[in-house]
Amino acid sequence: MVVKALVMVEGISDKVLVELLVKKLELNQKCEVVTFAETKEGFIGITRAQLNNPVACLVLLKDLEEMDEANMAATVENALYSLEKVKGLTQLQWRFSSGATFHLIPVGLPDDPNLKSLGIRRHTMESHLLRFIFDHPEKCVHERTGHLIDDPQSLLNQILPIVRRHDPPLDSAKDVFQVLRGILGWTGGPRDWLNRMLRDVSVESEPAFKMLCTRLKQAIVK
Amino acid sequence: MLTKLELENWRGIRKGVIDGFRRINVLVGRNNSGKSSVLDAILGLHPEATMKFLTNRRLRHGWSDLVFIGQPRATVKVWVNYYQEASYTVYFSGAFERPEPSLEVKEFLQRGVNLLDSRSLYEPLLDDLYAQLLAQEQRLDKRWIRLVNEVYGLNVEYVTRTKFPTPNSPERLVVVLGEPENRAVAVEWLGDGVRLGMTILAAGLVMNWGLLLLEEPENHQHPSALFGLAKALVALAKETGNQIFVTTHNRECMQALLKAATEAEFVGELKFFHLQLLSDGTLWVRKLDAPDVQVLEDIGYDFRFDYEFASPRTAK
Repeated sequence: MVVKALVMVEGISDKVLVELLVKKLELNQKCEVVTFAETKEGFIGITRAQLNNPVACLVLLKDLEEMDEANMAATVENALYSLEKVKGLTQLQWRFSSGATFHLIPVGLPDDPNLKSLGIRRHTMESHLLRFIFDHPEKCVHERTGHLIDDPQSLLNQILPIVRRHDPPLDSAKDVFQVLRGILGWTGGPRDWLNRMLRDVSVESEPAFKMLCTRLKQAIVK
Repeated sequence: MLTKLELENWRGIRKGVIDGFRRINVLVGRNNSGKSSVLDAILGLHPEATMKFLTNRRLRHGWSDLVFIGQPRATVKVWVNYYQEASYTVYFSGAFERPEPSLEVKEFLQRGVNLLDSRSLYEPLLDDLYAQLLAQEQRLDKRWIRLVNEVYGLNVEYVTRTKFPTPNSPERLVVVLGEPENRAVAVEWLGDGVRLGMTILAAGLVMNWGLLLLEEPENHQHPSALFGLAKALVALAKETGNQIFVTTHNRECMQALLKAATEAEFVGELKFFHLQLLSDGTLWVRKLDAPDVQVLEDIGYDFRFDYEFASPRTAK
């Protein structure tokens, strides 16, 4: 009997991206992506509701922000301990006494030199999108005019200091991606521009998504 | 209050235990997951109700219809907490065997049981219940009419039993409507949803500390009435102490009960049970408190489809 995993993400655009990734990985029949930010207690409330499900497979994709993976793992583990004493299987995986498993997938690319050079210190799902855009400048097409920005990273390097003067600190990948989206005139919903970005892309072989995909597969494929 | 139910060879269930019942219990699950069998088992505890409902509802070929195929007898065991904890076991093997219950169980069972499903529309049940509403120490028909008006937005002034519409007509229940309709209608002329709702509400009012078993009460109900009905059921459970068991396939019904219980600060007395009948006839139940179901609702997780995410470890 195939039991679906519950993949918890922070917001709507994260949900759209992760749904696209799992579809490309052909895992969409094996999981359901939900946003935990909409609930009062966040991912802990959802986890509690699955505690008496012995085959529950919970996957949490959480923005690293300024943390590193070890810090985030410790924070999540503490939160899980508030429900019950969990058994650590790996640094990013735990098991509840019922048998339910919990997988953490930290989101963000804190070691990426290009993102560092842009002054990005807080990492979110947009870290991966920026990395992808830098690897694929051919995707940087203005929505309305069709104009191509052939070096988005240089452009951001020029623009960000100016924007920061008015709106400091602008050190989050989310905010930087918003600036780029503004330049590109990508005004529609995330489904529009994410579909456009990732069309005909093999996400598993993209450095921007490689780790996310590997960890999603490890967590969801039993 | 019924706290636990253990079934063995009961209808399609070879073995199963459900515990943790609260004042309002919502049973969900796919078709053939055992929801109705649970209601039948609770009914089977009451000798009078067995004759009144269970025989009409289930028996086509005799008592063997109630026993898991190939097994000599079925067992239904319950735990009740009336004024103290007690258990009681009933056996079925060609006929009912009901050992003499303890005093607590006896008194608990005497509080009564009513099972209502779509068939209730075609039985003279409402007439009986109406008589019971009048026969109470305090007239309950007024309260009943108030509830019916609230749920369905009607203006029923009173209900009476009379020959209608002509003196030669048979005696029947007649609903007298005030402004703006200002007319009388036979209960049979009312919509199915209103009639079923009237029956459910009357059944809930005539008992105190009894068991109200509702099979898919969403049938015939408009969503607007469903919330009103849920509100009335929560109020009845609070006022009368009746324990309510609801089977449903309807998400709006679940949401209505959640909302109504939350508004009435009765959410601690609402519990949801997802039933799965495994291929070997074992009943597997995942129970969730109302706040946890609310969390799942908030993220769009439909508890009716819980089987896609949950199962016993052995079935993995």
